[in-house]
Amino acid sequence: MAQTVIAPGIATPGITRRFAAVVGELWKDKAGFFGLLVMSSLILVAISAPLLAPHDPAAQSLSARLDPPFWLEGGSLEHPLGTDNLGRDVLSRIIFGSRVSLIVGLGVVAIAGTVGTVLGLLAGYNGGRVDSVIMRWLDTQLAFPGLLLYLVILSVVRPSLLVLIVILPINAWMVYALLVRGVVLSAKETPYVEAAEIVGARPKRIIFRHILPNLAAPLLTLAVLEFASAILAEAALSFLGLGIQPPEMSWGLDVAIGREYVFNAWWLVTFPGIAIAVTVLGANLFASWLRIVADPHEREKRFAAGLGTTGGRGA
Amino acid sequence: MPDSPLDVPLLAVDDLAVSFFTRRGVVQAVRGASFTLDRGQTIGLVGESGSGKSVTSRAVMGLIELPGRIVGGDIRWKGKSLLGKDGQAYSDRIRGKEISIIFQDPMTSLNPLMKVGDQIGEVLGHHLGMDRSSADKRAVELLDLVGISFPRQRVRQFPYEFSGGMNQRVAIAMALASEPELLIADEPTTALDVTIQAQILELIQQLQTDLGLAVLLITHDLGVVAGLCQRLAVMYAGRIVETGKAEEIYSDPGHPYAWGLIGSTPRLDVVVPKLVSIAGAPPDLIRPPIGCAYAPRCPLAVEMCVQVSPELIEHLPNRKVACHRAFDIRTVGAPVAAGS
Amino acid sequence: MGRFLLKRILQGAIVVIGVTVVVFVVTRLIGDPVRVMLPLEATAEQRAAFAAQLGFDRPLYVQFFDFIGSALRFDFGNSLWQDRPALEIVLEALPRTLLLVGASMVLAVIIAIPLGILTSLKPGGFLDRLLVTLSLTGLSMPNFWLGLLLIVIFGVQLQIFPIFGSGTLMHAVLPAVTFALPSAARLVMLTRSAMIDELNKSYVALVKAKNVPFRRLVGAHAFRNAAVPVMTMTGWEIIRALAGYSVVVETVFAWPGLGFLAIQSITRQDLILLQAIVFVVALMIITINILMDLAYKYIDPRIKLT
Repeated sequence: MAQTVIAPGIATPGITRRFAAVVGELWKDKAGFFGLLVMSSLILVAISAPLLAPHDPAAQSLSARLDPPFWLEGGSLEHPLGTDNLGRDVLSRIIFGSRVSLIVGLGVVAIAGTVGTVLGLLAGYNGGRVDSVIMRWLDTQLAFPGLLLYLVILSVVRPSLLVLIVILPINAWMVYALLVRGVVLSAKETPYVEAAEIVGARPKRIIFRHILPNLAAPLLTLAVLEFASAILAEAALSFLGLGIQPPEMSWGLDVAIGREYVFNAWWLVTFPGIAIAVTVLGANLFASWLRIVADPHEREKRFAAGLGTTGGRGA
Repeated sequence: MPDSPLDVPLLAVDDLAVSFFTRRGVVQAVRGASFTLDRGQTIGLVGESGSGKSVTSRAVMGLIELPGRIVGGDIRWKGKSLLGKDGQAYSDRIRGKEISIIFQDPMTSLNPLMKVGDQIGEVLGHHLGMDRSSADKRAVELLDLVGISFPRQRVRQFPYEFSGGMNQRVAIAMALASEPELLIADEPTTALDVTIQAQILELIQQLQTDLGLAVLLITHDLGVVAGLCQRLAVMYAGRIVETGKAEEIYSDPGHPYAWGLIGSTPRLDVVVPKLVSIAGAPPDLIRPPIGCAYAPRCPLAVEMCVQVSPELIEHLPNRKVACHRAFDIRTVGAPVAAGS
Repeated sequence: MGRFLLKRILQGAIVVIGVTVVVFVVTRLIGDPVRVMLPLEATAEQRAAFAAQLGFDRPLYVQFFDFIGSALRFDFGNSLWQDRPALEIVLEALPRTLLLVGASMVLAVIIAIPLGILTSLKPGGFLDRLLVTLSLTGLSMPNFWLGLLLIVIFGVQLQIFPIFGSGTLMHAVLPAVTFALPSAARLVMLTRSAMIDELNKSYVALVKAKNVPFRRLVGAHAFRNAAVPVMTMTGWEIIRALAGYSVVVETVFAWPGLGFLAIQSITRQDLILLQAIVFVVALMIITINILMDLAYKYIDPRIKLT
């Protein structure tokens, strides 16, 4: 339960106990806990990559090409997850590759989230012409082949990290706008916003004081999910050769390199792929935990479901 | 199925207890409800929302699902229990066949994507073994019976093409399709316009006399039961606090809550000096009070009411009241605003 | 109905023109088509000749109307790479992609709907938690990686299926499965939540009270209603597969469909071919959207086509 009783006179600051309560609940939901663990590891690994990586990820070694992981014959703990075709350490490349994933994920979420939220607020709050223009635009763009648009752009612009962060939001803003508009429309119907309007509170004030708090939980959940989508999109484009370019490092790019060696060095595609899958899975699990925590009905259902598995039907 | 002897009541609810196991704790929604219903009889189960009347009706239908659970008491249909392992099988046999139910909001209680004729027809097919064409014919007759004009065209329409009142008629037709002996009407008019309410109540009353149905009418509105029910059971905080003949309870309520409820109901046939409301709110059923649940709101409460929970006792012939100060309300006189 | 179709086709035309405009703007304004299409070592004379040959030396507005006009006549010009009409190449590849996407969507729906319904019947139970975890894992896997894993396992280790290219039906198995699994995972989750929503509705309570067989309650009542969002999602999956995943999956398996062609047109610096592909895919998406609207009407009589 998020609410905790903060007794006066106790030295522990309220915020610590509150945090402890949230973590305690997270611990009960193993999947959500795993999600949080993955998300925080990603951040930690990305920040401290130079400390964690056993080798320089770009260092080539002709004597140690295509070494298998340590538990296979010919492998050694020197390169725990083996080496690639140029003798570079797979583990170190995965550790450094996390940086691109994190930066792309955060960058795309920040840009798309801001643009989408602002347009969604405008459409939902103003209604009328603004709403119909934005929605018409959205409907048209939804019918637009998103990835092909990226391809067209990337065929004339040299791809890079910055380009990815700029072009991925072109499609990603739409979900935020739809979500925000929906929440604003239903929030507008609630008595407290109507009352605020009658009292004469200014529109901006109403939005910030009354509607935004309602948006926080669903927006955060969506942002985590979209963080995962951005990582997947970056990996796919890099795999196709239209994203991160060598010598920069990216998990998708490493899978593309490994693809040439699937016959004799399966670890080259496997480990970077696992890194992508685990990161995305972690974000998905964390998002679904957030959704449940933010929704009292969901929490009640979970509780009831727990009854169903422990006890039988009564009477 | 062999019919049981006629001296056994059609439905007997005996000290029924239903709890809901929620995150906040165990909500004791029904904490000992007892009443009986005979063939062809009409009983009104009356109480505020949250008093446990709907839960009681769901329990009778065998529709209590997790997190809810029947934790005590018994429900007997024609003398045979509907609970326990054998009872469950018995309940599955009679549900929807011998007992049917209609719900509060007719607009949401019909499947929006199925033609009304098919929704009636599936009852006929399953419970009466009718084939498609005779079920279709019977569905038309049933719509006609509940007063829907052009039934032949209407069976092929969808619920969204009907008004609320019309959908409630459809729901009634569907409930009657299996030729039940008991119709449970759970707040059948609450979601409808006032003018439509009277029509639906008239329809239920007429069907009740024509078909010899027993009716269990669940409502928070005493005005609704007034014309329809021979007997009343007043429910408060999960318990039946008073049962008896409807007109006797109206004219001479034994329980202060029944008295308050009557006082707060607008009536056309009796001049009430002043409409009163009952002050306070029903108790938290996670931690129900040890004594009488109504004591905190009761104008007559004494120390014993807070300490000891009153039993449902027959104070007058066919008149049971669960109150330490039953009928003491007579000495207070005409209803006056309690508390406020 | 006629009015509805006309309206949707008009809307579709607006989208197609929008796509064409965007492609024009991106390729002519952001990028320089001559620089993109000619090798780096080309001389200035060669560049000028090339620009004149393809009309890139004319004023932009002339190029623009010419571009729109020929696009609407389905005339995109000759592919630089293969030196034959770009549309012809696209139409050769299209059926291969449609075959793959069609087969995989049928597979996804066949897997996902029964599982989604099954999990919804006892949410929180063992089977539910198992399948939800599996689905989440499935939709977290990048599909190019899933494809490579399948290649490693079934192609290299077990040697059951051919790995690259097309030709026999066996060639289609691994790519179709690669398409189908993530889609199936998303559809399981959606079917599950749509079913849970329906099963908690008041009309289902009444169906329970009517005591008709459980199979009928689930199929004819709850799923009939849940089918509306499930169908929307399936349509989305088809669109995503056509316009997105096909590029990745077909590249992994060297399956000669539209997606692989798109990547080849980029590596061969053939903008004309890429334009034709984008145009045809946009048309496909619009057609699917219109078909979906018609299907809605069939499923839900309340929907008015306007």
